[in-house]
Amino acid sequence: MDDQGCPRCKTTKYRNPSLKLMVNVCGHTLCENCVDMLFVRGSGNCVQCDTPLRKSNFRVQLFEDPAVDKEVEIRKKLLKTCCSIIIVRNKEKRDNSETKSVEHQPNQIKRKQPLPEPRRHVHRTRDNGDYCIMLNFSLSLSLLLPLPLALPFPFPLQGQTVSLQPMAKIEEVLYRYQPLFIETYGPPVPELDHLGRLGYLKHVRAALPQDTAGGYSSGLACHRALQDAFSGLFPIQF
Amino acid sequence: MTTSNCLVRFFLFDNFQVLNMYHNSSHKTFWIFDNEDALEKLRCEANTKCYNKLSTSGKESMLLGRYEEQVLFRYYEKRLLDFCNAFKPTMPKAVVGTAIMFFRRFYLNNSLMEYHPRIIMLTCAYLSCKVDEFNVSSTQFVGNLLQETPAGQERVLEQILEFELLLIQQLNFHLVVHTPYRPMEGLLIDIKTRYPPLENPESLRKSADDFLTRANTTDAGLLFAPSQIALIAILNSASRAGLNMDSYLSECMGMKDNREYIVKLNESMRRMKKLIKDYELPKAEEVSAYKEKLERVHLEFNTSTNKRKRGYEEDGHVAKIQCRTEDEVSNRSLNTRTSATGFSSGRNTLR
Repeated sequence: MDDQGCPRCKTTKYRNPSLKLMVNVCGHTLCENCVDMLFVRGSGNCVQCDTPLRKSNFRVQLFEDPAVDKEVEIRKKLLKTCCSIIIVRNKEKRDNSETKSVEHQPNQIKRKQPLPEPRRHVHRTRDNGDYCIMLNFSLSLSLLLPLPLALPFPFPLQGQTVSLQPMAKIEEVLYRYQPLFIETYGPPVPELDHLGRLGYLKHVRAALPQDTAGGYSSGLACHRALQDAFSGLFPIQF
Repeated sequence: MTTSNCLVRFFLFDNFQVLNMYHNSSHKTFWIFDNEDALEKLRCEANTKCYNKLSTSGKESMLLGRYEEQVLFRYYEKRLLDFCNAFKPTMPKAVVGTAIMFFRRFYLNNSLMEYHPRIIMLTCAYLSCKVDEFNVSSTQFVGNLLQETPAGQERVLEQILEFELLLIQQLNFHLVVHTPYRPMEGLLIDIKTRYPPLENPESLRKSADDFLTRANTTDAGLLFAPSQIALIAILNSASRAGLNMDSYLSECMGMKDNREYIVKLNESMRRMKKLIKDYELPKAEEVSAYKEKLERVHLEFNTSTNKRKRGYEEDGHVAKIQCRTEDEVSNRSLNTRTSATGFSSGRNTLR
């Protein structure tokens, strides 16, 4: 209970059950009242780490550990950025590339320690029209990204930071639809919709009104029987 | 087809029908054998295996040979059939067919000396009720054992539940059996629709039904596709009535381009008729003699109870060999879905 309180006014959830904690990009909490008070002008500094913050960036703290909230926020941002970019890793080029720094961050983020001062996690520099992205927690990113984007990531990523180079553009072949073909080992079965036209439905019991309630129609039964009748009919040795 | 039970199934299966059909079922992949000899070989192997296991104690004369097993198998199969036919509420034909098929499949790889057919037979019926969605409660089920006292019924029920898992395992978890009854309905509908030269197709139904009932007690279900059995039943019924359906086969079934199919179909028909002709009810005196022997074997060796006490998993009687080939085959037969599986496996390696 004790750590679930505002670090500034020392109010805790216990004393004020309606206490609402907020988190900003630096990952430090403040209660709603303090936010209102300190950020009357729309911006101010973090009480704990003195980072300049905007009031509009405050989010309600959803997790017990504010660092998680912070990370979730960052991941969301990254996802947005990366969705349009295909990422290719080029380890050899990493050292002499134009990216400014390669940071080393252990796999386990030590949440209990004071977090490093906030830093922009996505640097976008325009060179040659390509986006250059530097990430410092690509492992979590890979879980977050949609699969096709995450695939080129080299694994394992434990204990290292991957710097992502200017992306090579991958030419994708357009998806072409190929109709599903299933070998039934029998004569072709008429389509469900054509059964009536072909006269099949004259020979099955018509669906009673109470049958149709569940979406049943006599065509379904007829079609299934025909499928069963024709499936595997040709005497071939398998 | 008229029961509401089937009605629900039709509805539910509509979207998945392509995947649930016979042509990519475990029935077709694992339980259709090339010829009668293959079946006989499997049964002989099962018998020999059990024989060798039990004969170490030096009581060979007590054990059952292959022929004796065959006679007893027929006898218990008939009893299973009688039980199903006398069942209250009336069992649909598909359920009976499934039960018989389970029984056959089970004793393809197992010996009667190992598991007593009396209890396996009831377990097959019980399981097929579940598999084919014929809802009876377990007490209602054993209530059909009229000669038993309520306490006896309770005991039988316990045994059934005990053997149920073993049965499922021995069936290799391939529980869906495709019976020839629905294909026959489909064929009759098709004949009525596309083959007007035949004036009264309904007249074929009775003897075709008879044919199916008799084919049920033969190995036909392990050798031919259910649709083929149904077609042969109808052709047989037509030829008995003096009708020629060759033009139906060549025109409507599209077998015109492939004479081979018709030749093979006739060959299958001949084989199936032979199977049916060869079937005879076992003689009463033989049965009673062998039954005594079987009881003694089970009393003496008490094999099945040992097995149950030891648990199902540990010993080698599980059909592992077949399981190994299963992956390959399913990969092959499901190649229409490889893209989907490729996707998921890629994801797994990623994590």
